[in-house]
Amino acid sequence: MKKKLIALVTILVMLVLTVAGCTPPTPAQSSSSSKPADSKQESKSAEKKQIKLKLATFSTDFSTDWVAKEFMKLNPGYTVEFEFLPSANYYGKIMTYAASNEMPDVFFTQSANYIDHTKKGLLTDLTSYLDTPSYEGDMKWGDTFIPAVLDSARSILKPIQSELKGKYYAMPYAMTSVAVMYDKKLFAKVGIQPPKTWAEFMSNNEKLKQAGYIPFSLVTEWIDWYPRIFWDQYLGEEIAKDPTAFETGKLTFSDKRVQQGLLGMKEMWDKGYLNESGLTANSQDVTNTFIQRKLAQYMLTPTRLKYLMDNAPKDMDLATFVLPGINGKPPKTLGGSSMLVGVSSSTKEFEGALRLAKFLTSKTLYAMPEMKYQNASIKNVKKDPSLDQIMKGYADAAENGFIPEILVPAEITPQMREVFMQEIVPGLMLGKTNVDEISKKLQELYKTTYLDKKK
Amino acid sequence: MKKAKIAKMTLLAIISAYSVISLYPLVWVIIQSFKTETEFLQSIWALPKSLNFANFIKAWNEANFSDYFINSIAVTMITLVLVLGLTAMAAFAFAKLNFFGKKFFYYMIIMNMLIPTAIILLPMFFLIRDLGIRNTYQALVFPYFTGSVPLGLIITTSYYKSIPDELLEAAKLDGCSIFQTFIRIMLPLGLPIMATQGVLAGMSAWNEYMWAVISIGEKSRFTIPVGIATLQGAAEAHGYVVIFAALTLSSSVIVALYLSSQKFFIKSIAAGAVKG
Amino acid sequence: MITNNNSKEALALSQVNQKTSLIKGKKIRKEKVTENITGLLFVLPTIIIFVVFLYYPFFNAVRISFYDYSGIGPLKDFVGLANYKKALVDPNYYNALFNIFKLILIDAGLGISIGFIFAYILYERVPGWKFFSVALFIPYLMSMVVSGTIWKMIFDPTIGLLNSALISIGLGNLARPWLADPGTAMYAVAVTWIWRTIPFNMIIMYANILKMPVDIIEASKIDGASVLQRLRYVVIPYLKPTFSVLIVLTITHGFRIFDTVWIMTQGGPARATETITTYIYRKAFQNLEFGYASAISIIMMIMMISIVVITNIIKRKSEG
Repeated sequence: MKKKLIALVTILVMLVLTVAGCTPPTPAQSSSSSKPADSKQESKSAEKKQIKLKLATFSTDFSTDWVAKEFMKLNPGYTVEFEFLPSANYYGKIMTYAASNEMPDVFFTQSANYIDHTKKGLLTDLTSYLDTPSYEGDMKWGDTFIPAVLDSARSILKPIQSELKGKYYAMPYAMTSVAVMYDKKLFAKVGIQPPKTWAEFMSNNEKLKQAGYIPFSLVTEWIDWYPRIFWDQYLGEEIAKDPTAFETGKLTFSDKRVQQGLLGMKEMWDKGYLNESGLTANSQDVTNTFIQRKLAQYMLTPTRLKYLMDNAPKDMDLATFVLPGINGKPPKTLGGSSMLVGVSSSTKEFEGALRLAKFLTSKTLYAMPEMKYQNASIKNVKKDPSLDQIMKGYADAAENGFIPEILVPAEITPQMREVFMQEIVPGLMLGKTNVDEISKKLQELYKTTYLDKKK
Repeated sequence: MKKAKIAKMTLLAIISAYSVISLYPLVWVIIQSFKTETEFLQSIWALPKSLNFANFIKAWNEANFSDYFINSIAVTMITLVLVLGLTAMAAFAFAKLNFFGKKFFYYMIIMNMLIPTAIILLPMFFLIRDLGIRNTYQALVFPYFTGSVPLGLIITTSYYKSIPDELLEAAKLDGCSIFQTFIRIMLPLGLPIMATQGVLAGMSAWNEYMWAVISIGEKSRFTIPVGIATLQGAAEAHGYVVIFAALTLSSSVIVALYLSSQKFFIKSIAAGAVKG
Repeated sequence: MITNNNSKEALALSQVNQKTSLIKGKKIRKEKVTENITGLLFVLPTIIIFVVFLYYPFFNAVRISFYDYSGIGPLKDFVGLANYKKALVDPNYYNALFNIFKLILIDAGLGISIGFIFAYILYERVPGWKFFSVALFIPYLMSMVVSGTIWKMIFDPTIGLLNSALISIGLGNLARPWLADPGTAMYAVAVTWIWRTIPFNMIIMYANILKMPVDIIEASKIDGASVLQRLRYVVIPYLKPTFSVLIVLTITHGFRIFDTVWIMTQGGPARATETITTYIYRKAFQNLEFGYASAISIIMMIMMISIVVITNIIKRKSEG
């Protein structure tokens, strides 16, 4: 009886274990896991011409897999596995791919993550390929880009530039700029014009507020936009002349102009010109507010335009303008090469991956209807003239050039960025802290998380 | 008598008011899923002008929900089989048998309620990579198993404890071995609590998304919550109303599971009378 | 042992007895061995899965907590207890802890008592109790993505339902940006949270009230006790053990809140709703400070264990 019982239980347990397959890796299992790789190689040699690529992106321009389909249509012999992930999940996922050595052959990257991906050696140095033909083959790939956008791409690697000396580990996919969206009819009703100067902008805000509208937008994930724009106005020229001013200590965070940049935003907040939900509302919430005509002016990037244009009520007459400079200087814009395409350093299909990367920065791509509202990072892309009204602000914004990704280095390390976004800006708006405290805190963080680590 | 009636009516009023607060948000999601995008953007609280099912079709087709449904159902089912089978065995042992290290093992399982999930995500990812089970159902099933067993074990163990020992003694006198007692007596008696645990474990496996987002590398293996998270990131391409349709579809499965087993639900918890 | 009696019979009897008890002892020992083995075999599969899929990664997390680690490559920058030291003086950590305590207090206070009230109303068999007992549990089945998304829209200051409702009943001065105001944000999150925990608390308590012996209720009815008296002197004392279990579950559950906060506020404004899990997630997956994030989680775990142990001691003392 007992023997029978033990035998039975053992069988049951073993059954559960085999069904579950939860034994530690045995040779048998590891060989089974290596099988797909073998068969992949076999099929590769069998068909030879089938090139398999994986593309990963966070850009909402590609939230469906149309781009992969178009590429495959135009390039027989290629199979592209496509993955879109919203940026909130994207970088964690890229990290797991890196950890398991499954990096997508071509992937998008952005600002601080671009630095990180470069430092970790995940990207191929593309500098020498700028001399190879572009996707269409009519000119050199490097010559197709708008020079200002290329500059902006290079400037992102500034914190680690000493080692990389102006190299390109990823190419700008779009020319991002930021403009203020408004409804012409609403402006006419309130009796205001798009502002030319900061004073006009502020008086418009006052009128809009009196008329019962929320004058201007604040979005939690873009909460650092206004200080960065204002800093460019106050300090842009000086830092352009002396890029290492903060490192050498010539400029500090206690500088009046650093504080002015923060106070400019504080003033808008205190006067009630920004939506009070802004400290936690995301861009989706703010879009709703704008479409319901509660918010009068909405500052956003072209990536979100298509949705707004497709769904805004027909009786809205949307247009854009550039946010005037708070310090009277020609207003530069945030953005530039804020979305970059890179080729994995571990790709087994480098030529194919390069071709896909070139496609993602090509005239062919920009001629597609899905790209109607995106601003190209490359020259000679004609936009539909009927879009002039809506695109004008973006074009004007880009005209004056781009604000470098890192100017006042308040977000130069992830730790500083976290503190700046989570504590400093919201804390200042809420009156929990003042600019002197902020200057001290930033200076200390700059030393401990950046300067000390650099040595 | 009259007083009692008034009291009852007051209670009814209170619970009805609460039901509105409690259930309205769900009704709201369902309402949104029938709207057009413009209707939704113009007022999130108004009713749709007409019922349109286009969002459901869009969610199903464009967002690959048909694939995700199969994956989600497979993962949930396998998780349920493992969780229910193994929890019943373990709970029986903890409730009715004396064995070496009983307390230690019990607390070892319950302990998971105290480990923050966020922190084992990365080591767990390394583990499934090293085991070579990335992009398989196992990679989801086992973490869901460890997540669901603790609470299930607490309720199932106390349920089994409430079954009188005399029943076991009688079975023993009839010549049943412990294993036979478990199969013939405990398992059938435990069905109601299994149904309850099934709803709780099924719900968490069906809804889990953080681990799924991080660990699955192949699109063909995505589960519904990953699909919904992706949809949400791309809300502007598909439209919010499509997301609400997807949420409605996804929730209705788990609600259906609950409704089909609700007959046992309260009774089985009552029988076990969770006491810790 | 049998007291001696020198008669042969007695001796014989005692021998027989001794023999049988020997046999019995052997049998009992044999049974005990079987029980031991069977018991172990019954829990073994679960334990194996827990060791492989929970404790192995968990101990790796403990190991990571002694390193400076960014998530990729081997562990090499050993820093000893530095991450722990840093965590213990990190004001954000204490802020997150404070927020969690707020949430747990609200959940334990309101979540459990409201759950109890409705459990009792169901027990009183109000008209439609069957419907209520089934329907009111449904919110618990919703994913936190659903509850977070909906409540976020309800709390929106401009297009949200709550402010419009307040304005329409003439309480417009109470309207505010609930989630963006640090004074109310954590409470708004807590409301969303207990919206989902009340059904769970309710169902557990309802099930337990159903188990209450009918005679004690009947007796109190005959004694002419009012509803409130009955609650105070009969029902609540009876449910004491259930309350303490629910409090422990509330604590362990509350400590692990993540999705709800992440969807509604991402820990803002100015960290007013930062909880330990959102802070861990931020540190680990956004700042890539895995070592530090692991250290924070382990300290949090130790705290949770001590709280649960203390609650149990208090419970035992109050019962004994």
